[in-house]
Amino acid sequence: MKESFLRFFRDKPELQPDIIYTIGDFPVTNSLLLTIFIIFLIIIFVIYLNKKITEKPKGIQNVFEYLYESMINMTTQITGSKLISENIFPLIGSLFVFIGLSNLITLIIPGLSSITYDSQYLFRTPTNDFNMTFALSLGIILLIQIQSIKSYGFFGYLGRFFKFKEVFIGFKKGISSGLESIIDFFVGILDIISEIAKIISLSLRLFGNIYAGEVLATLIFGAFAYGLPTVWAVMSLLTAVVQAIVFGALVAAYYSGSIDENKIFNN
Amino acid sequence: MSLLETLGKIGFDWRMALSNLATFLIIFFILKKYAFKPINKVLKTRKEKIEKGLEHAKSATENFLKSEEDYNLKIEKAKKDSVKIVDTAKKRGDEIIKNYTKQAEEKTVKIIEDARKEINKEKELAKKEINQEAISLGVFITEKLLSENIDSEKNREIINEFLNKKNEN
Repeated sequence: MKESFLRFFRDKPELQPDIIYTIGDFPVTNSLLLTIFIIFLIIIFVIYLNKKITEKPKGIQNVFEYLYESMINMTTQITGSKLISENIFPLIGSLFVFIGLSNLITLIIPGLSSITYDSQYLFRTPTNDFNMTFALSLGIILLIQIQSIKSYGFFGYLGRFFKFKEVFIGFKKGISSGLESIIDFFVGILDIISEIAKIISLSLRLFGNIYAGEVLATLIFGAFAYGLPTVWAVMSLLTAVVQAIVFGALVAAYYSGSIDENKIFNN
Repeated sequence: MSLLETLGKIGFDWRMALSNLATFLIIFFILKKYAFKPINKVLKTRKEKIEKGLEHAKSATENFLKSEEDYNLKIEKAKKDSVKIVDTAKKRGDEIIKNYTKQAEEKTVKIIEDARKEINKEKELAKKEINQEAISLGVFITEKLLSENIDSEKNREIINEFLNKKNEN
C-alpha cells in the first residue's frame, strides 16, 4: 500500500504493553503510567468535588449526581434489590468510572496516546493491557467468592458445588429423583469451572474489545485519514461507555447470583 | 500448552497484574471514600429534607383542614348560639315589656283611683265649705231680711233644717 496524504499510517498496537523502565526487576509499563495518570485525574476530581459539593446542587454537581443515581438505578435493575446494589455499588461504580475513563481518556485528550519516550509510546489504554483486565476480573471474582462464603457459610458455599446432600435426598424420594439429582451433582461440579471461566471471559471480553477497537482504528486511519476516523471516533466513544457498563453489569449480575439476599438482610 | 503460557502470549505477567490490581484498589478506595460517600451523603440529606418538608406540608395541610373544620363548627355553633341568644333576649324583652305595661296599667288605674278619691274628698270638703258659706250667707240674708235678731244657735238650726230639706229634695 502506497503512502499518501489521504492515509495516516501508525504502528499496529502490540498485544503486550511496552516497558518504559524498570524499578529493580519490576517493569513499569505504559499502561501502568496511564493508570497512574488516571489516579492523578481522579484525585483532582475528588478534591474539586469535596470543595464544591453542597446540598443545593449547581453546575457540574448536577451532572455527577445524575451519573451517580443512574449507576445506582442500573445496578438495582440488574440485582433486583436496592440493598444488594447499595452494598456492591462502590465496587461497580469504581469499575465503571475506571474502565470508562480508561477507554475514553485517549479519545477526550487528543494526542495522549501518541506521546513517545525513547521511541516507545508513553501511554497505553489500561484496558488494552490484559494484565489490567485479568487483574480486575480475578480480584472481583475472588471478592464475590468471599462474599458468597460470608453469605452461605463455608459448608453452604461448598454445598453449592458439591451437591451430595441433594443426591441423598433425591434417592430417598425415589429412583427418578435420584437420577435427576446426579445430573444436578455434575452441574454443580461444572459450576466450579464456570466460576473460573468467569475470570477468563470477563478479562478477555474487555481486553479483546478494546484491543480490536485500536487495531480497527489503525486500519481505518491507514485506509482513509479524513472523515471516516471521525465516525469511528464517535463510535469508539460509545463503545468505551458500553464496555464499562457491560463489565459493571456482569459483575453486578455475578454478585447478586452468588449471595443469599435474605442473609444479607438479616446481617 | 498451559493456560499461563497461553495468557503469557497476550502479555500476561503476574507482577504487572498485581501492580494493576493495586492501582485499581487505590482508585476504588479514593472513589469510595471521597467521591461516592459525599455524593451519597448529600443525596440522602437532601432526600431526608425533602421527605421532611413533604411531611410538614402534609401535616400543615391536615392541620389547616382540621382548623378550617373547627372554625366552621365554631361558626355554626356561634350562629346557633346567637339565634338562641336573640330568641331568649326577645322573649325576655317581651316579658319585660309585658310586665312594665302591666305595672304601668296598674299604676295608671291606681293613680286614677287615687285622683278620683282625692277629687271626691275635695268635693266633699268643698261641699262642706259651700254649706258653711251658704249657712253664713243664709244667716246673713235672713238677718237682713227679717231684721229680726235671732240668736246664732237658733239661726243655725233654721239653716240646717233648710239645708236638710234641700238635700232631701
